[in-house]
Amino acid sequence: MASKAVKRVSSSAVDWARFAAVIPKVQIDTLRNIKTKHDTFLNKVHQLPENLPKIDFSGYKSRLPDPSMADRFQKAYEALSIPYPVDKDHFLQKVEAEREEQDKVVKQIVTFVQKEIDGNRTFISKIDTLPKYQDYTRESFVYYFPDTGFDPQRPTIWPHHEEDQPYVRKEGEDHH
Amino acid sequence: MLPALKSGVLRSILHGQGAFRAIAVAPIRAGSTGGSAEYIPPKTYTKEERIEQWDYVNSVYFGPERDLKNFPNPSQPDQAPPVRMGIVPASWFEFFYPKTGVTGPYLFAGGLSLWMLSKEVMVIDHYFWEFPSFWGAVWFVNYKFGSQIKKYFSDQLQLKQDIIFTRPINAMKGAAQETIAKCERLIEETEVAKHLYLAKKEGVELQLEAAYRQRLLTAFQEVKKRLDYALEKENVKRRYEQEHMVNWIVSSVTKSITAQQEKESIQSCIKTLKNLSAKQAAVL
Repeated sequence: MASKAVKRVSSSAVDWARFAAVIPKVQIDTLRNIKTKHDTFLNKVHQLPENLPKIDFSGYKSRLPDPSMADRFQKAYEALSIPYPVDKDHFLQKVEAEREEQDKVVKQIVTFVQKEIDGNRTFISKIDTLPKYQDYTRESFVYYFPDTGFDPQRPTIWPHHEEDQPYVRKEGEDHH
Repeated sequence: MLPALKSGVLRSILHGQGAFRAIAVAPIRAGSTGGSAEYIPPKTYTKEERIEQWDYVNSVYFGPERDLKNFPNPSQPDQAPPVRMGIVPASWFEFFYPKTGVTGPYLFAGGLSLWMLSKEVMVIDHYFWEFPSFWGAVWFVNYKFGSQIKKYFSDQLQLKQDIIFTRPINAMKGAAQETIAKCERLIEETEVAKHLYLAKKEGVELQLEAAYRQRLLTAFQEVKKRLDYALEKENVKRRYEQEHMVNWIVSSVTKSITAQQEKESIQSCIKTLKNLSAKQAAVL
């Protein structure tokens, strides 16, 4: 029998639905391959017996010419200790090392992205604190929005909309 | 002050004559060089620059140094103040109300008119009728087309507001929200590493388990094979012995039969056949 120390796996703990939900759309084929491979491993495990199958020694005892042979076999079979296979190439360690590396990268990405999110949240909250449109004077509007307000460096023609300016190319219009 | 402010309108104040030069130069650049207007894209501002700018401008316009109580921030009302009788401001009536009641303003207008007529301040000559006819016309135009005119101007104002304020603000907000959504999805996607690790680890463990189970199966099969072999060997041996015994007995018996015995037996057979045929004939 396998020693108690070895953790035996016979079912998948991977949350495939969640995995499929979080994986980027472009990598869904990769996920499919992983799943197929994983399923073959699992199927193979399920096709094989979980414990040492029983042998009907009493039946043999009555039929064998030498019942002591069945006895000997039974004793030996019951005392049989089959070693659990060892991970010779240290794949588990490799996977573990890979995970640690990944964790580092993930942490970096999450920190970076979280910073971006916080920046955008602050920006939105700042937009909400801006005065209402009715509360601007022409002067203060230019201070608040230098790009949309009047800029003497960029004089405009009437009606002073960006899309009506001569330097803006219009769709399908030949620009000399 | 901020560079953004410097580059904007305040440049004229900060640099004195520079602004006039800029205004003088710009139309030439934009217009009269054979129509090849040079496109100057609007300066783009990053979020940080905008936040910095807004914070600064807010501190100037609405900061602690600003006396908002005595000098409130000018605010443009959405609607014109209400009027009565089409053209007379309602606030004038409200001014009279606490002192003279409802009829006061009318009485005042009538009394003032009478006083002006009697003192010939207001003379009824050929030009007098211009006054009521002008305001009558104003009232009529307001009555007939007032709502249309109002709608036209309010639409224009709304359009301007949309173009210079609402749309850019909403675009900025939308872009920020979109970025947040994308970033949150990205954080969610980093979960892939966890699942992938689990899948890989389980893959290795499952293969080990499969190998172990294969060993169990092999052990079982080998033991059973040997037992079956012993059993089968015994069966074959017994069958062979039986066959051999039968063969041996039969051959011994065959051997023990002599020529005399054979002859006798054949004759006895013939005799029996004859008897049988006689019996048959008797029956027929």
